[in-house]
Order: sequence, then C-alpha cells, then structure tokens
Amino acid sequence: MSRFPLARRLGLLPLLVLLAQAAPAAAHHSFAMFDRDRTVTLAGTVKALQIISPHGWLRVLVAEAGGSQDEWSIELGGPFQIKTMGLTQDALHAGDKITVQIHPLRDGSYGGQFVSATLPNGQVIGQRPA
Amino acid sequence: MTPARTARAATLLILALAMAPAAAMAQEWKAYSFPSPGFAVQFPAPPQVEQDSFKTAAGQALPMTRYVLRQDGIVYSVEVTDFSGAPADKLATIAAAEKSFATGGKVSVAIDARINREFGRELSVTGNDGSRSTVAIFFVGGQLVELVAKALPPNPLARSADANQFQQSLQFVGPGELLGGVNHYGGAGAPGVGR
Repeated sequence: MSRFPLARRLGLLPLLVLLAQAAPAAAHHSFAMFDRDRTVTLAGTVKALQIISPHGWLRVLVAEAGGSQDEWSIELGGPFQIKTMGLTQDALHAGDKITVQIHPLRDGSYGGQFVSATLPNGQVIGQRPA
Repeated sequence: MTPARTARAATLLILALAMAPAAAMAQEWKAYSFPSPGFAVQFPAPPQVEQDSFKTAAGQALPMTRYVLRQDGIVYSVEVTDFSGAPADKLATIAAAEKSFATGGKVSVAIDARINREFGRELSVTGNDGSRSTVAIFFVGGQLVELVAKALPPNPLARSADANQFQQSLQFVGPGELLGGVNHYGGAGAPGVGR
C-alpha cells in the first residue's frame, strides 16, 4: 500500500503543471546576448505574435526615416508566461500599434528581450516602463 | 491498476495536455527537435540534413551532420560534430571553434552563455564578405554543436530579427527528456516538429 493517499498525490497536480509550464522559459538560457543594463523603447506595428516553445516571439515593424521599416524580433517568455501576462491573440493583432520596451541585443541587431508593452487598448503588460 | 499507477498516469496525461502547443497569429516558425544528436531549435521552414566532415586542429576528419536551411538571404545551420572518435577537452574545443570564426571576419560580440545546463559561447561576427553571423558554440555529450545564422549581403542587418530568433531558440535535449510544445521522433537526424 502506498504511503500517500491518491487524493494527496492528485493534489500536487496543479503545482506540477505550473512548474512544468514555467520551466522551459525560466531555465532555457542565459540571455547573455541581450544588454540588460540598457532599455530601449520601440514604437511600431505588430507583424506577428508567435506563441511557441521554449520562448514566444513578438515581431514588430518600426518605421525609419525615409519610409523604410525595420523588423524587430522580441523574445518573450514561455507560452504559459505569455498567456498569464495577457498577451493573447484576442489582445493583439497584426497591424496593431504597440509600444514595447526591450533590453536590446549587444551587437546592434534588430532584436531584444521583452520588458514591457503598451497594448492598443492602453493596457500595460510586463514590468512597468522605466 | 493501483492507485499509485493511476495517479502517475493522470499526472502524465495532464502534463501532456498542458504542454500542448498554443496557436499563433503567424506560424511560419516551428520548433524542430532532433533527439538523436540531442537538440531542438526553431526554423522558419523545414531544414535539410546533410552529412559532411569536420577537420580538427590536429588535422583529423570527424563526422559532422549539418541541419541547414537557406532562405530569404540567410543561411541557418546547426553543425553537430561527433568527437567520440577523438576525445577532446570541452573548453579547448569551444575555444578552437571560436577562433575559427574570428579568421573569417571581425567578432563584435563574444560572450559566455548558458543553454539548459550547458555552458558555451555566443558570438556576433561581421564577415569579410559583408555578411553578418550570429553564432552559438557548445560542446554537449561529446559533440561540438555550432549554430550559425549567416545573413548575407546586401544589408544583412535588415534580416537580423530572424537570426536572433534562430540563435535564441536553441535548446539541448537529454535522452527521453520531455520538452514543452516540441514533439519528438526517433531516428538519427529525423526531425520532430512542434509549434
């Protein structure tokens, strides 16, 4: 006979699920290529939201002087973290105006680690903007 | 079935359901898992698997498998070299690989990095040919793993968003390890696909 009743074991399920969902984003890598001492604000339009493991991605088009657009890839957390902070397909659509704060890549490439965003409805998600 | 087995089965089922892939607005990029060499990475389209060889600093040719996609002015590749026939020091092998990238251009960023429980190096290289490469170098399970996203001229900076996603999505997979949202298939070199 088991030392632990079935109900007690099943009671751990929600915790196990939470840990399993959070783990890929929390433990995947070191974010070394991002300069976490700097925060940059991007104002642009949403190209795509990819909710994918181990990290989701937000693609944002930023207009430059001269009429061209630069595409930025912004690394999000894992799918569970993305949903938890309210970043869903219902909240964000391609073409939406968005302001995003990121820790930029050290080499000046068009990419960064997500810090916060102001959604089209004015809702701020992530950390409070600096 | 005993209560303990029932609980274990229920736990596995719920974990599997919770890790089911989520939908996305634009879903070109997918996670591809290669359990035999032991890594997973996101590509914007299915990669090709090629067999090649890698020459060590001592001149020994070792078997290398390349997972590669050439698309929209970027060459995405993960090269896995099997060092089981030539036991090597992990740090020295990584350092030698890093040095080889420096010969082809100017290294603008070189930094220690961690993926899962493995430590390696990540680089940014401006090539002598005007290209821009985003690189990750690791030595895992007796294998040298070199990820390169090489954005070709002209204007490689314009494609750096894709190179960033490719580099930052690399993860290592232990034998039998379960990755959220990534399906696994058996067979050397055979990819599994997740979203």
